[in-house]
Amino acid sequence: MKFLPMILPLFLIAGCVDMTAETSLVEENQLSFPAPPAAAAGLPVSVDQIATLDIANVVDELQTHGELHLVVSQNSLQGDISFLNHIELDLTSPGFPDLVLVDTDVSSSSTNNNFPLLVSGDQMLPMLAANPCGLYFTITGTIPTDGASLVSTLVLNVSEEVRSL
Amino acid sequence: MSMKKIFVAFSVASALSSPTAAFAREDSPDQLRLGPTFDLATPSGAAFGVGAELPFMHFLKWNVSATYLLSPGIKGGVLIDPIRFPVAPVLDLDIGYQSTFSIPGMNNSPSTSFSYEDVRAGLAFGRRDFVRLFVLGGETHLDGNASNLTGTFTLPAGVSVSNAHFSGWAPSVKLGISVLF
Repeated sequence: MKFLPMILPLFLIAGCVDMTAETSLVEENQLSFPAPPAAAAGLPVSVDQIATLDIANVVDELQTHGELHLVVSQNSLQGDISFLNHIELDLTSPGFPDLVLVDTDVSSSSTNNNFPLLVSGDQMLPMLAANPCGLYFTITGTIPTDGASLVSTLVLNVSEEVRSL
Repeated sequence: MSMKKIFVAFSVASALSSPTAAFAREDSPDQLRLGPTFDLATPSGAAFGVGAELPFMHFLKWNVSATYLLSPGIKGGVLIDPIRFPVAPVLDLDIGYQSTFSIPGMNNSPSTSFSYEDVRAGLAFGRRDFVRLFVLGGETHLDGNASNLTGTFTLPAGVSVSNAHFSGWAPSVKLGISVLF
C-alpha cells in the first residue's frame, strides 16, 4: 500500500481549475479629416476627429469569468500619412480623466504607421469596462487640400485567467 | 446511474474475479492479453477501444480508444494497476484529441477543438487480468482553440474578435471497464 501516498495528492488537486484564454479584439475606424480653410492651405494646422470604442459589454462579460489582462499589440493608421507632423490620441470616458495614449512627432520620411501607446493596456481596462469610450485623434500637419482619409486600427490582446480551488 | 445498477455492476465484477467463476483460467505471466475497454470520462466523453497487457508487464494496461463528445475524437493511455487484488489503487495517464464541435441548441455557436492530457488516480474493482471496473478522479490539461466567437458577444460595428486559444488545468473523472482475454 505504499502506492497510496503517491495518489493522495492527485485527489487533493482534483477540483482545481487553472485556465488561461486569449483572444484579440480588433477595432477599425474610418477617420475623415476635412480640408483646411483656403487661408491655411499649405500651412501646418491641427485638426481632430473622434471615434467611439464601445467594448464595455464584452469586457464586462469576460470579467465575470476571471481576471482580465489587456495588451495593445497594434495601434496604427493606414493611409497616406506623409503630411503628418504630429499625432496625439486620447482615450476619454465619462467619470475618468483623459488618458493620453499617443503623443508623438512623425517624421515626413517615416514609413512606420504603428504608434506604440504611452500607457499599458491594463491602465485602459477600467475605462473600457465602464463605458463606451472616445478615441480622440488630433493630428498636426499640412492637410491635403481635399482632406485626408485614414483608417485607425487598434488590436487589443485580451487574456483571461480563470482559477478556483 | 442508480445505486442499484452500481451494485449490480460491482457484483458482476466480483463474481468474475472469483476463482470459482465459470471464466476462471490460469494466469500466465508471459501471456499477451487483449480485450475491449469502455469508459465515460471528462473531457473525452464516451470511449470505446482496445486494451492490452504485455507479457511480464501485467501491471500496465495500455489502451487506444475512439471517443465521442459532440464529435469524434481519439485517445490512448496507460493504466498503472500494480496490485493484484480485487480492490486496488490505480493511476491513469491518458492523452487525446477532440475534434471540432459546436454547442448544440445555440445559434451561431462557437466551435472548439482541443488536445488533452489526463492524470487520474482511483480504485479498481475486479480481477486485474480479466474484468476490472475503474473509478478515477484527477486533473486534465487542456490546450485548444475556439473559433466563430462573433456570435458569443454583442459587438458594435467596426469591432471583431479573433479566434481564442485556451490552455490550463481542470478537474477530470472517469468511470470505466476493461475486459482482457
